[in-house]
Amino acid sequence: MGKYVDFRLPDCKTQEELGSTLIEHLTVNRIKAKKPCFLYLTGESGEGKSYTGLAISKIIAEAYGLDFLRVMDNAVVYTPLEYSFKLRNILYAKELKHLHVIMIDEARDLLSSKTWYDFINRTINDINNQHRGVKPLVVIVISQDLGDIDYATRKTIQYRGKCLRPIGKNAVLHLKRFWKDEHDISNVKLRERSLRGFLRHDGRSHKVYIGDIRVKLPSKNIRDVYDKHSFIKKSEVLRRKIEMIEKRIQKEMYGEYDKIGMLVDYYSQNDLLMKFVTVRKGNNYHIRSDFKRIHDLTGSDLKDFEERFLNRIAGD
Amino acid sequence: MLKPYKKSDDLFSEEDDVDLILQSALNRALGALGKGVEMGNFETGMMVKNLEVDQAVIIAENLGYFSHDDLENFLSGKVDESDDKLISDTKISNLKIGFIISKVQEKKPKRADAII
Repeated sequence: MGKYVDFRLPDCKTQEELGSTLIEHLTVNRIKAKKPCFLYLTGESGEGKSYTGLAISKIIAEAYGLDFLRVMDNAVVYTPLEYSFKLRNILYAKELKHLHVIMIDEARDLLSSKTWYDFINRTINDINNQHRGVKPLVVIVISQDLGDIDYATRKTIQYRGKCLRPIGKNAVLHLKRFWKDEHDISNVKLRERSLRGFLRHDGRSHKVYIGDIRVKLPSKNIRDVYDKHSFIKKSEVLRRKIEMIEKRIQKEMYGEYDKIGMLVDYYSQNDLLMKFVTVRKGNNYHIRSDFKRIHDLTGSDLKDFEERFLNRIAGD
Repeated sequence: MLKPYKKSDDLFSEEDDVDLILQSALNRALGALGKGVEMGNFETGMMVKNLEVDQAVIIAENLGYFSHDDLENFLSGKVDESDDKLISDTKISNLKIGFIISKVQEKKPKRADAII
């Protein structure tokens, strides 16, 4: 579509049909026309960014006739460590030749702000250089805010989605289009505007702009697989970090140190880390079943950890 | 003397979602319209003004806000032929701009919500 019009959609009977047709037109049609398509999803923690990214990826995968659940693990980059391998796979693996989407999930909770900033900027530029000429891709990048990418990198992004999730309701996506304001050529500014285009209805084309895009929860199967993989991959990174701290402490303390105490201190630092440890059942919190395996704990270690950790977060 | 339109910046903003080229043409035309009247030198003022207004008409027509016949019909019912030539030109230009604005506002895009 052109500079001022983002889509020209056929008659859609329901809002669901409009949603999937719209996403398909904005993304799949762009890459079919050999144009880059970067979508940057922002929002605070817990606003539904990852599930929104999954919903969009699913629409793109299905547009190419794929079962999203089967390719999801290939399309989602859970941690920066997997990025190179997964991108190479999507670009060159024969069995993934119809997969045209990659989603870089937020991993800010695993890294320092500076490392995350460097990773995101480098990744966007890297994908921009690598995939052109090999395979057109829709790239979805998830991070907390626009400040995580520098100004030059922002210019390579086409769409920005802001996610908000009112309590007790589904997430809402506000999708905007970036455009370059070149009225003053000595001072080109990057601006964003609503998505607009034409929608066929009752035999006529109506000029419309897109308001709210409500994001339904992905199916339970998709959620379960995503949550499980995300937890395992991210825990793996955390485990490595903790092992490094452990070694440093062991060196300083000549082997006499409290491993459980160190784990309690580490994981109770903030809410993001706590979610890797606890799972809520009703009004009670329990330690996740994988935690024992990840940190190589014995049964009594786990019991000790559970007691001390829950006391800590209860403010004891 | 006819009153110029209020400053164009107040009429259209980015949020109105008027096509950018038309927005800019209208802003120029409205500016020139006011200026032509202010200048007192009607001949020069009118020339600039009519040129700008005609450009805005052509752009709006091409963008599908109205057809040429719509505009002709509208003007034939509004312009009083007994007016002095210069005043009549100013009036026609004013009417044309007024007509574009009303058509643009009629065609303001509607909001569409979606679910994914």
